[in-house]
Amino acid sequence: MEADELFRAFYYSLGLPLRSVIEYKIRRRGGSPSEVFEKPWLLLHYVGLELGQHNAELVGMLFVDFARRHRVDPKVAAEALRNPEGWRKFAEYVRDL
Amino acid sequence: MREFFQGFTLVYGPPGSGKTSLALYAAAQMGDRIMYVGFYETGDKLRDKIRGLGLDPSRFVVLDYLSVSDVDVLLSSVVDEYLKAAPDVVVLDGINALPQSREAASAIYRVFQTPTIAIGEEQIGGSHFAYVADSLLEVSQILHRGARYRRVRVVKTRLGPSPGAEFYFTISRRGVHIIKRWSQSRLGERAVAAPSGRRVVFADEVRNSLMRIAPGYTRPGVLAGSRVGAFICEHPACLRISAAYLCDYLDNVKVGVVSTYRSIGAVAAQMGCGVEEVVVPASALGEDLPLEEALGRVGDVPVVFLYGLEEVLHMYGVERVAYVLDFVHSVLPESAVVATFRGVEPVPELLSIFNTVWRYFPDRAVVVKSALGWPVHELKIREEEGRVVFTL
Repeated sequence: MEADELFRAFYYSLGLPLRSVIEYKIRRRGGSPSEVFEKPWLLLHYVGLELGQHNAELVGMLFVDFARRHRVDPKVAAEALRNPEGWRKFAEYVRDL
Repeated sequence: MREFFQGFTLVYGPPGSGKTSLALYAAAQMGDRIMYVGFYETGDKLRDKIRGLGLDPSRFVVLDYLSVSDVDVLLSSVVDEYLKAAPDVVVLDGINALPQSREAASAIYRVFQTPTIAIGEEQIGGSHFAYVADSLLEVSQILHRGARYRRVRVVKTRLGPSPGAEFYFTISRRGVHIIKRWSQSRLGERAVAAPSGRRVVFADEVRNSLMRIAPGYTRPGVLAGSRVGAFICEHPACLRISAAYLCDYLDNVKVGVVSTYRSIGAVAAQMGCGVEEVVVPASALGEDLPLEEALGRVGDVPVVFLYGLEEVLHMYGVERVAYVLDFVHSVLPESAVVATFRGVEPVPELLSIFNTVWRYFPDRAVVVKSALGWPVHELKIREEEGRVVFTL
């Protein structure tokens, strides 16, 4: 499985109600939900800006839990959505699985 | 209010019953730094609520969580935030959103070492959280005959009031306040006011009779925390007697006058005194706010005269009359309250909410109840030269 694919699966696992809130907030910031699929680290950025850092932490933890179930090291997953560098390392890790 | 909240307190009840306000206000009494964790209300709305209670939002760390299906991760995130914030008090609003297992309840109980107030919906009262909680408070909102009552019932406690104890409470910009039921045990020993005797005069024979029973007690003053019920007839003479009493008190002290309709001011003017009457229609007394505003206008006074309570009685029943009086005494615990009913009988249920009850007819007055042992049961009344004279 590719990292993008894994992220997309995680994003849809959040469920429609939660995704609706996140997408509304992204649009309110002038962004587009599709942007998040291109740059996954923007997810926590937008959630933190619009819904508070505690919710960004929560979504981050949900991602770590999801990735762990796909055999990804939690430490690598924890950095994946924080910045482009974290995502790059995560993508490499997933490719090598 | 702190007596209700010991260790881990679980507050539960239906939506709109005042659980969150009660918890926020209690938390603010228990520590300087409060962490609020909510799963339903948004942070902005919660901060509005905090301001609405007259509290400072800067004392609150507000964490409004998104609703997620993985409640285990949610719990883990909440614990992380708790360790980071290190608050004095925690409010967990919407505990139904967390895992409902025995393990989760036990974990929360053990992790949150600071005083914690958890809020849940009605069904949480039978959950694992209820078993581990140190205190269990059931909150409800009762709408009866058009009046609203908010009630808190102590279901379980380790240190506070006895289980089963029930209290009304009120929510306003003054915060949340428990309205305790008045009883004669709250009567103070000192008189807060005595009438001047310029308009209501007791004949020598009455004074002598009084002095025989209680030396030095020649005038019927009112004690701190006392309640006097005055049941007056419909005849204009009865209103004049009542106004004469009011004016005599006004000669000596500041008196707050709250009426359900404008009446006593004009009669008092005939008796030679000016009364600033705060009018609150009985139709508005089904809610707390109008009464609270009226008392705010009255200010801190040693005596409050309430007029037109017969309308409150007819509209809402005895329960509301008692509530109004309890409300007044919760705001002004040291004041004496003189409650006037026009054209109604002092039925037994009403007698229990006063320490003294008088009944006035155009030509006589009857002491229906006197906790202090008024020695005369019935007095004759006559009006002469603008004065009301009581004789044996």
